[in-house]
Amino acid sequence: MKNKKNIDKKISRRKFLKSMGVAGGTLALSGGTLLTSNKKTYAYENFAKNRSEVYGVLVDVTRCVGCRQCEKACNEWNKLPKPDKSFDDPSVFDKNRRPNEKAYTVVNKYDVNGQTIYRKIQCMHCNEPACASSCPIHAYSKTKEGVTYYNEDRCFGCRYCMTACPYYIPAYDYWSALEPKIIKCTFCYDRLKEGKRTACSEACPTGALTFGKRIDLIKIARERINKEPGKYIDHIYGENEVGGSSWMYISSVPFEKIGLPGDLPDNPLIEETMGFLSAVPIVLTVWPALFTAIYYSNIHRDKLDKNNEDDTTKGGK
Amino acid sequence: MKNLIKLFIVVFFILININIAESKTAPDKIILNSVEKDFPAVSFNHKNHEAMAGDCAVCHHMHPTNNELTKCHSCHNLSNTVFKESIVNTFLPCKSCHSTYNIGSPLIPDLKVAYHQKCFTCHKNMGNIGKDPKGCLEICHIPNKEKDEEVSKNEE
Repeated sequence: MKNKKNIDKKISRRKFLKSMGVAGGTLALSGGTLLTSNKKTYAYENFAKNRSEVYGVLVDVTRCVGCRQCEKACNEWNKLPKPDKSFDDPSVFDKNRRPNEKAYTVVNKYDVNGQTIYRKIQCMHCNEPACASSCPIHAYSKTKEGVTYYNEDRCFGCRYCMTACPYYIPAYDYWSALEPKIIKCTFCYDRLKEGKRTACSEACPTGALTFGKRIDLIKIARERINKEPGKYIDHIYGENEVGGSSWMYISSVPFEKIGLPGDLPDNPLIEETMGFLSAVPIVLTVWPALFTAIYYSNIHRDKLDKNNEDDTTKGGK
Repeated sequence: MKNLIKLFIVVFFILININIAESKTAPDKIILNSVEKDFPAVSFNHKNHEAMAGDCAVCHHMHPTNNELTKCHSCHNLSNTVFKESIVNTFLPCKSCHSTYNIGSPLIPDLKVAYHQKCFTCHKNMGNIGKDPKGCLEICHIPNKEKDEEVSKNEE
């Protein structure tokens, strides 16, 4: 009889825990969905990617001849340190480079299906930048011109942005011991404010870089692709990738083969993590309280059971 | 009086014709030095290219596209003389439209881009152009020293 009673108790406890767990989970999830359902509440609600003031650069890799005038102009305008190899030294193409603390932009050479393709690499200035959403202290911001602006005075050097960026762009100034900072393309924000285009696009002699309003550039890119459908791949890289970016590429070879990640989603990366991360505070506050309550209610009940048992055994005696 | 008016009209048309005839005489050689700061100036043989292109409009295109991005005034309000010359159907030098870049009309490239776009229609992949960054110096941007040597060779 006693055994049966115990089994009943066990089952009921399991059932009870189960139901409580489900209830808690639903509560936490509903909290998470409450936060995520308001889709456009990102860090930059004032920034709309199709607004006419947003500038961009269209990179047509079929036009680039690898002269590196963009690198040179960038270096001169931003007063960056002198490069190890001069700008007319073609031996830099021997291995693929990345932007670093000495260069906001680099041009790499790719041999794809017998074609020589040169591609300029720099910050893409995403419409919904992952670097900015990963930054714990808002060192990044998005200006109305479309610049993903980095404020080095705010940065304390956690380097989350470096891991968050899908294009592996932010570089770190490891050599500066006292005031290290993130180094990345500034989109020549100082020039844009004066109504000038970026230094690199002004220097480009072949028209591989076209500076203009982002909405105009998308039209131009479409037109070029439609005019020569055999030459171009029917895709504007950066129009929709991770929510779209100010810098866009059109190419005659697959984008993965010229060093651009080919598996990026069209949604901003913040959408991938926001659901989970916004549930964390709720889980951290609701769950401890809930389970503590369950724990104490169980202890209390066990105590009552024990008292009852004691009473019955005493009574039986 | 009527005869006088007729005479005036005739003289007027003759003058216009002279104008057109004069402006149609193309230069033999043009020195293109818009990127002289970084690359040696190009001595462009206009005469040779006339024959090769066949049609002047290959380069001297007046209305490239009927695109909403290129509005009439983006070229035609450059200056009064440019406008006057363009309506009498003469060929304008590249720089009269392509000298400055306007962010609002990205379809009109600046001078060096306009040149390169036209040159590359044939010259890309000629020699090492487009394959080797140094290819630029082989055919067009010939460094001064070599240019002098070439000139002296031709003279010999």
